[in-house]
Order: sequence, then structure tokens, then C-alpha cells
Amino acid sequence: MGLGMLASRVIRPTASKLSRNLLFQVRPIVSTPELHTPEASAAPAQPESTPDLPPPPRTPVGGARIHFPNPDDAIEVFVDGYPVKIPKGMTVLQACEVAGVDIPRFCYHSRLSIAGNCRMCLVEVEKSPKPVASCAMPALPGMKIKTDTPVAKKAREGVMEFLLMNHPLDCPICDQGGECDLQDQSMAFGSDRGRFTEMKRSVVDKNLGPLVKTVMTRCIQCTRCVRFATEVAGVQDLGMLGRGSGEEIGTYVEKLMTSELSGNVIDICPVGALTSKPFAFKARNWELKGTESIDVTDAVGSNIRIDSRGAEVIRILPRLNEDINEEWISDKTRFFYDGLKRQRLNDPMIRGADGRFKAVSWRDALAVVAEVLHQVKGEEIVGIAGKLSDAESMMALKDFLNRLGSNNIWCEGNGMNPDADLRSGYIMNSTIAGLEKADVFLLVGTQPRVEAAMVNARIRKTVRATQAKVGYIGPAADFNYDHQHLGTDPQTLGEIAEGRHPFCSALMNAKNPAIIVGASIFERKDKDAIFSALETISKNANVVRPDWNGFNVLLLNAAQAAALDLGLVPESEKSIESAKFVYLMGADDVDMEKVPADAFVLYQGHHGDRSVYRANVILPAAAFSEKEGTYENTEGCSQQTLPAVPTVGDARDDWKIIRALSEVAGLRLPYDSLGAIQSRIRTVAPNLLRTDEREPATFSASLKPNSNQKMSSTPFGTAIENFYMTDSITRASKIMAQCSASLLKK
Amino acid sequence: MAWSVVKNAMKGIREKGVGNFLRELKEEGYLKCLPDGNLLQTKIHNIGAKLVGVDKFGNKYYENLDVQCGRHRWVEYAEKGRYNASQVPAEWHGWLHYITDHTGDELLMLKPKRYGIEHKENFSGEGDDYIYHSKGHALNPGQREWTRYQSWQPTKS
Amino acid sequence: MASSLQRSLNIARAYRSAFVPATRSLSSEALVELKPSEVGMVSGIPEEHLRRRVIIYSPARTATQQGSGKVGRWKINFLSTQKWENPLMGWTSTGDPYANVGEAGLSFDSEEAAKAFAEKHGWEYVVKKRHTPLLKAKSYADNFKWKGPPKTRAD
Repeated sequence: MGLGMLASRVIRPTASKLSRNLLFQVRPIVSTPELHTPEASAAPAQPESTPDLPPPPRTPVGGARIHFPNPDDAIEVFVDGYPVKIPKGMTVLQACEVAGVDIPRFCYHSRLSIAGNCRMCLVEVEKSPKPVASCAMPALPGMKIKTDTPVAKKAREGVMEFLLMNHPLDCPICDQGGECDLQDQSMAFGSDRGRFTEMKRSVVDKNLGPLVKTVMTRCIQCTRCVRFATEVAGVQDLGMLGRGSGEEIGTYVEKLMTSELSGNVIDICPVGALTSKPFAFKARNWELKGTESIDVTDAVGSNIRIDSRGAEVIRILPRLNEDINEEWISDKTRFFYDGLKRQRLNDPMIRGADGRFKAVSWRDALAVVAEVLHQVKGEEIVGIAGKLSDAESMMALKDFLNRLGSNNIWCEGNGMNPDADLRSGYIMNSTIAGLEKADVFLLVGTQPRVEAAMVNARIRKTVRATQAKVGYIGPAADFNYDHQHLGTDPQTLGEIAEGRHPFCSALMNAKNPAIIVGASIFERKDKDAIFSALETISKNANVVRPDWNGFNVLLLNAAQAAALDLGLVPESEKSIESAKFVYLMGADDVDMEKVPADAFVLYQGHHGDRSVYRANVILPAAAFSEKEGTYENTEGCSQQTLPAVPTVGDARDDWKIIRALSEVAGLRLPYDSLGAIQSRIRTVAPNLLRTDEREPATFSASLKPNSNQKMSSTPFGTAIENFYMTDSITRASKIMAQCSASLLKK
Repeated sequence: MAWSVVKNAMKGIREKGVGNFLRELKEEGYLKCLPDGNLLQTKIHNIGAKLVGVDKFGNKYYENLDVQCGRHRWVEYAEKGRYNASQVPAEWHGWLHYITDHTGDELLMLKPKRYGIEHKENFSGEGDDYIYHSKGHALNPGQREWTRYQSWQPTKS
Repeated sequence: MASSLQRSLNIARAYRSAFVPATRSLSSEALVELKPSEVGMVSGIPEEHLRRRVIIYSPARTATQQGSGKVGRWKINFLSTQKWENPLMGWTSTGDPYANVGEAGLSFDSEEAAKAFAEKHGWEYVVKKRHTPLLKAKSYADNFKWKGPPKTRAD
């Protein structure tokens, strides 16, 4: 007893010092001053005792930036006595967020509309008779908001008791356990015992498809998923049925959730009602190591966090980037990770005389390749970079093949005659975030919903917010927003260019018209004619102005933009037919029929997918989750992947393999570190090294020489037949195979 | 006391005959008493003690309340050569260690058999067959491959 | 042998420079001023780890949760991929002493603190841009706003 007293007396002075320093940095959800140290409860009284000490500046929650549409409209409110300036029209909850106070909430989500039904965000407002639901209440000038008073705490405790009334106590077997908002907040506002003695309700689980697992008994009816489905995903699949305790979320009829963004409902669900089916019972979130990386399955370059345990990728989650993917990712990005564990190439292999592959050592494999390289002429060598190649390895490939005397290097998907001279001709000039400013869209030969789901989500957001018009030229496709199907072939484009089409008037009257061209046009013969027609349209409709550049090319693959920046352009269009040596760097969508039978094919990649069956030598390389690589997305923003897990087997980074091969072949490349190769890139395309910054194109597309090619009447094709399986990793994935089997069937 | 031992032995010989008596003597391990002092001591203790029960393995449990408290319960193992403490099944363990006064037979009757698995003695050091090898060990019959990826197999070529 | 000799020389040099501050201008608050990478040299870290590439970044808010307690900290990612499954037990082994340091062990209040730490240890660093959310005014009344004429879509 005496010892304890002594100890507490010894500890107290340090504790008080600590708490005073930490008080303004650590802002716990708990708003009970009496539960804190006695010093903390005395904190409100502190300013009186030391009046000369100004309150330290508050930083908004998560370092958020505040968007002031009109600086004159700022109003001042007081949150816990601290004055904050906020734009007019913000809610009380947002005002608290600006003041650095995180209000507990379940139904409110910053990217969805406000529902105001969970009542967890109750705060006390001076002169208000009752606690106020802060998420739905607009902040008024001079409002005095109190977030940590006994009234607010009691109100939240009451709400929490009701929420926990029907919530099962199955946290130990719940996949959300450890990352559950309800769990966290019940730590702060939950009671230690229940007063509910009746039976808890139970709800039948719904089948939402192979991606989202439902345990509907855990649902607290926050309706975030319903709002997400209708507002962001644009499918009317989910809804609320019944009233009172019979209320449940469900698909009205037995139906799967067929959205390419459905995985995001897992993230936004504050409890464990919607969890990831492939991740179910695989790991706990505290066992996982997060690596902040970039998605490479499409050209958007969504920011992701790769969660790994040991040497295994366990799941992929979105990461905030307001300019690219906000906080969503597509299902392909989220669930293709099991493809990283299947069909991996882990040993160098040589095809023997009997046509069978034999695993050999790196030394032997490289020696064989170098031997063949010495026997072929420079112009007979062809190099094709795959969809998932990073800029560093493409640079190394180009340098290496150039040294061998070949200039036939290209990236698949860019076509045989890409226009790499003008950067504005192949990137999204208006940026992905900038699409929100557009009021008329003209989609030419592109189905953004399958080609770039995140871009499609932006367009949908714009259409929803501003009733922007969307015109679409291409084969009949599934859109999740209102659009006018103008035609299927380039003739329609010609009509618009000549001003004969009814859609022209919409385009002319638009303030910020945006043209989005699909990258599948690169493969067309009449590409130049289409682009010049588009140029005419953009001239007529004033699409490219100093303050607005609405000419966008929506690329398909992660490697495309960087490849064009680095100048990976074939010298002759027919090079592959006469090739003697084909260097495939992860290129799996090359038409191998075109490759002559006597050609030596070197496949360097991470998955045994398609081209590997034609290869003579296989060199195993690292996948994007295992290497550091620069990727440029479709809007021209270069970003880097970081290694999350080790490479499998004997695999090596792509650029290292090329560097080693160059040495064996006697043409040593002058770089032996990633930094050195990046300084080589700096001389070619310095924009690739400004990571996380978007480099706008300097010249607009109007500088392009006019071509006198005629547009053919071949209708535009669909670039991606199967959204879920587009590259070697996604094709190896079982989950993606399940998705395409169950979700794409008509 | 010594006299009663001899008397009992004489009685046994008279009832069973010399051959049978000698065989029994051997089965009961009396011959092993000479090299094994533990067994000899147990046998000497058994004189005048109460046989409380015999478990399914044939271990005999004795109690003698006259001796010093804390030494008044013991077991004579059925296995006379390589006996060890893990041969006592769970139901007798409590009685033998003064945890409970219920004998093993009583406990077996009291408790409905639900979860228990058959008692197995600890075979450590009893030869290579009983050595446990980790899951990834080459000698583990179900040797596990820990690589968490599946490599491409060049089947089609 | 030679390397160990060189190493002890390095250490000696580091000690000397640490304890003979007269050769260098003293900053007012720091008693001993450190040159870049000196701490690494005397800390007993294997020499090959004194020149590492590290990434300094600020972890993004978890998309699955509301909590923002850990947002705004700065971390060092050591790009450690030397991991393998132990063939006997299946546990994850690593050959990198920094494998478990970055995410769990090091956390800084500011970018500058993380940079200073990396410099002190002589690591070559790259700083990743921190993405922050953009707060835009939202209102409950938007739910009841007139959203144009009714759509004729069958869906």
C-alpha cells in the first residue's frame, strides 16, 4: 500500500508533463475528461490560468486540405473553444474535422452522401436544447460546438448501447476484428454490460458473389454500402428492406453484385457485415505489413497498400490519392493478388532439343542467349515490352537492343506506329481529377468501365453531380451513367467533325468539353485519320484552351505511357515477321503466330502465361509487388512501386537481368544500380523521375502534322473483353477466374 | 511380518504348485526385484497395503494409511522393465497425486466420456519411431513444402 | 581482416571526431555535433547496412477505418525483401537486420526528423509525397436537391 502510494507519487510529475505535451497531438476518440489523467480534465481551465499562452494551432484530421470555393464565404465556428475558419456550407462534423477533432461516426463517409441515421456523431452545440447529429447539421457562423462534454458522451453512449443491442459478440471470429470501427468506438463509448435481455436478432446472409462475404447479422444499418452502390458504383443492387428490427440490407431479389467496384463496400463497412471473401480467415490485420505501392493492372495507377505476411501478399487495399483514385480501387486491383502466387516462373529454363523445358542456372541460360545474340544481325532482333513493365527495365531493354544494333523495340498495346513525339497525344491532358470540371464528354472507342474503372468512377461522379452529357462512339457497351450512343464506327466521328451530328451542338455549347479516346485506336490502321478528325472536333469545340485541355487518351496498360515517353517505337512495322530473335519482356499479348518458326524467342517475365509456350529460353523476373519500378499512369503522373515481398525462387528484377545479359553478351550497359539507371532515364524522359507529380504535356496535340489518310468504316472494337483477366497476373488468378465465370455471364 | 511373507509364499506354493508359483513370481516381477531396487522397495511396501484399484493397463494402485502421510499412495507399474510415470492414465493421476480422493475407477464412472482420447504413454527416447520431426523435416512422413507460391510447370510444350 | 581493420579505423575516426569538437563549429544547443553517417558507424551495425536506400513516407489512413491516430507520422521503409520461408518450420526468416525495424520500430513526428535520422545513419533516402484528403463542403440538403428532369432509363 505504502509502496503503491510512493510509486504513484513518483510517477505523477512525469505523467503530468507527458500529458501536457501530448494533449494537443494525441486526440483520443474518448471524450471523457474525467477518464483521462486529472491534468487533462484540468486542461479547459488551463487557458484561464495562463492567459498569455495562445492555444496551439490545430491541424485538421489526417492533414486534410480544406477546399474554399469562395474565400469570402469563410465562416468562423468554435470547436471546444478553438476558433476555426471553414467554408460556408460545411457540416458541424466537417468543422470539427478542420479543428482536428475526429467525431465518431458510422453512417457518415466523406465520399458518400450524408444519411444521418446512425446518430453516433452527436455533439453538443451551445444554445441547442438537444445533442446535434453533427454530420447532417450545417455549421453556422459563431456556432459553439462542444465535442467532449458529458452531454455528448452520454448521448453517444446511448447510441452505442442501441447499436450493440443487436450486434453479435463474435469479434473473435470476425474478419473485421482489429480494424473495426464499431469495436474501436465501443472501447470508448460502450458499456461494460448490457441491459438487453431478449434474443438478439439474426439476419440471413446474402450472396453477393465471389468477392464480398456477408454476415448480415453484424450489420448496423449504416447504409454506407447502399449509398456506395447507388452513388459511386452506379448499380442499384443493394437496398434497405423492412423496418424496425426487421430492417436489413439486401439485394431485393437473389442477385449478385455486378459492379467492378464492389470490393469497396468491404472497406466502407464499419463493421464486419461485408468482408472480403478471398481474405476470409486468412490473417488478422495486425499481422500484416503494409507497403505503399501502385497498381499496375490498368493504366490508372491506383494507389494501393499491399498487405503482406512474411513472403506472401495477403490482400490489397486502396490508399488515398485525391488526384487518381480518391479512396477506391477496382475489384481487379483488389483481388488479383492471388495471381501473384500461381504460375510463377522461378528458375531460368532452356528448351532442349526434345522441345521440353529444363531448369538451368542463370549462368547457363545467359550464355545460351548471348550465343544466339552473337549469331543474329542487329535488325533481326525485336524487343517487346509487356503491359506490366516498369520504366527502368524498358530503358535497359531499349539501351541493350540499341547496342545490339536493333531499333525495333515497342510496348504491347501501343500499336506498330505510335506517335511518341507529342506527349499530349497519348496522355490524359485534363487529368483524372480534372474530369470533374468537364460538362460534356465524348468517348471515342473506349469503354472506361472496363478499361479504367477509376476513370469511369470519376466520369460517373461528374455526370451525377453536374448532369454532364456523355456521348459515346463505339460498340454497344455497359455504362453505369446516362449516355448517348452516337454510333459504332468512325463515320460518326466524321459527322461530328464536320458538324453534321446532333451531338455537335452539345459539344459546341459546352464550357469544358472533354474528349476521351481509347488506346485501342492505336492498333487501328486509320489511327492518324481518326486523330485528325478528333483534332478538328477539338478545334471546333474549343477543347484545347490555355485554361482547359480536354483532349484525353485513355491508355490500357500500366507500361504504355512510360514506353512512349522513353521512345519505345518500332523502326519498321513488319519487323516481327522477319525477326530472328524476339526479346519478350513480359509480353503475353503478342500474336505469336506472326513470329517466324525459326526465330529464337526469349521470354523474360514472372508468369507462365501465353508467350512462354513459344519461348526458347525463359528468364524469371520479379513481379510488380517484388520490385521497385517507375510507372507512368494515363494522366502522365509517374509513380513508384515498392517491393512488398521477396521475389520467388531465382527470379531477378527485369533491369538486372538485362544488365547481366549485356555483360555476358560483351556489351556491358553502363549502369549497375537503380539510381544509375534512373539518371540514364533522366536524360531521356526526366518527367518519369518526378514521382507522384503529374507533368503536363508542354505542347498541345494541334502541332501534329495533318494526315490525308481516310477513316475506314470498320467499327470500333472492344479493347477489353474480360474486365477481370487482362494480363498475366490476373489471368493466373483463381479469384479473377471465378469472377469472370460468375459475374460476366449474361 | 517376514514370517507372514514366508507363510503366504508357502500357501501359494501349496495351492498352485511349484511351477505355477514360480511363473507367477516371474510375471509379478519378483525376479526383477533383485537388480531393480525401486521395484523391490515397492514390493516391500505392498505388504500390508490396500490394493485400491487396477487400471486398464494393469497398473496397481496401493494405499497404506499407516505410513507417513504424503507417501501413502503409490503405484506398481504393470510394466516391470521400462516403467515411467507417464504410464499412469489421466483418471488415476489425480488420486495418485493426492489431488482427489476419487479413485480412477470412480472417476471413470462419474464422468461421461466425451472428449478423452486413449491414454498413451510418453515414448520419448524409445527409438527412432517415436521421435517427432517438424512439419518440414525430411523424416516427417507428411513433409510439408512451405513455399507459398506455385511455380509454373512446363507440361505443355 | 582488412575490412575489420578498416572498420575499427572508421570507428576510431568517428570517435575522434565525436570527442574532439574543437575542429568544428559547435551549434549552440547541441553539445556534440554529428556528421552524417557517424551514428551508423559507431552503432555496431554491419557495414553493408550503412549505405542503404530507404524510403521515407507517411502512411496513408487505412481506408477501412475511421481512426486517424496514426496518420501524419513518418516512417522509414527499408525495402527489405530478404525473406524466406524457413524450410523446417515454415516460419518467415530474414537475413536483414532492418527487416522489422521500419514499420514497427521507427516513427517520426515530421518529415525533417525522419530525414535527419536517415542522414545520421548515412542512408540514402527518397521521400514519398504525402497525400492528404481534400475537405469539400457537403450538406444533408443535397439529398433533396432537384436533380434535373426524371430519367427515362429502365434500370
